[in-house]
Amino acid sequence: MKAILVRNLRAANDALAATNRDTFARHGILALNLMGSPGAGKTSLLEATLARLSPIPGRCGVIEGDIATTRDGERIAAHGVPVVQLNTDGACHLDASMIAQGLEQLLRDGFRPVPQTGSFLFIENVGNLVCPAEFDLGAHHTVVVYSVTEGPDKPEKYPLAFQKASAVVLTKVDLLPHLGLGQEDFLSTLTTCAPHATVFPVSAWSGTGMDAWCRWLRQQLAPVAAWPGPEA
Amino acid sequence: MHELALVEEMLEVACGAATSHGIRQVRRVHVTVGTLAAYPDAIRFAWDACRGHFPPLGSAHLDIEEVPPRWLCPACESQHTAPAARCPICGALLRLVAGTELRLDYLEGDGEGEAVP
Repeated sequence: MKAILVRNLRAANDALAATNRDTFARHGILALNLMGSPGAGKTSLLEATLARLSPIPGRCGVIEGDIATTRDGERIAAHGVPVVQLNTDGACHLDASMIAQGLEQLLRDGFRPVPQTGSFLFIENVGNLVCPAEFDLGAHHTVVVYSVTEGPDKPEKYPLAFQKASAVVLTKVDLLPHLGLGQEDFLSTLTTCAPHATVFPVSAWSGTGMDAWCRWLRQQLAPVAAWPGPEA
Repeated sequence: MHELALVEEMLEVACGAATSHGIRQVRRVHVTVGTLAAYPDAIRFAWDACRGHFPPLGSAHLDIEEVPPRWLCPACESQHTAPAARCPICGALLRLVAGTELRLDYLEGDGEGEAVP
């Protein structure tokens, strides 16, 4: 006998992602899914970003995803920002259920979102440009962190992550003179491969470009905040 | 790793469906896999490695219908199979219309149960 099922195998994850979206909305949280290769500079970008965003308690929370170790979590905690470290024990991506659990723990551990002005939840995904792009976490934005040392061809090689991105942060631009490349070598590929993304060339080390990136982040808070200010 | 998690979900869903349809021994499971969503050979490998843990599926064969990626241009209605964000003909933003499927379509087996449409 034959049993017809026609079941979407992503349905379970997608349903949890929708639940996450409701939870974010209830708390006035803007969730950003940071994806990038290992060593792209995701944690360094986050450290430099938090230093500029977080004077208000409850403004920022972080979920760190790694296959192993708590190193990234410790780096973030040193900035006085509530952080939860998720270890995937070999899995190559975060999924919606891990985010649900991570957020629950983060709220228990001292993340007090401020619905009036909106709060940031940064989710640093496992270093990988392939698999994380296929799992909806319920985040408002996909941000690809892409370092100039990876070379200008990566958006063509890993199209899915870039096509979904609403922002691409091009990191380590201070190293361009050593690579014999210019920003334009990257920007032309990104225009084609990341059509929905605003591109931010930055150096977390020198601070170049960080103001424009943080301004964009603050602008994204307005739709989730109950009382959006001019620069919430 | 990601195919392994996917196959575990396939096996759980198929196992539950076999039970609810009164199928004791599943002979064949048919799935549709977009090649942007998963690597079919890795799915076959994980299937053979894991099916023994799900008794009704212990000897079930996995049929995979592979779907290559396809992009559609909403402006000029041309279709493309090479990864690109913009239409090479008219420059409009392309829409990915196939290649990310992950679907459990049907299973076949032996049992007293009745097929539920």
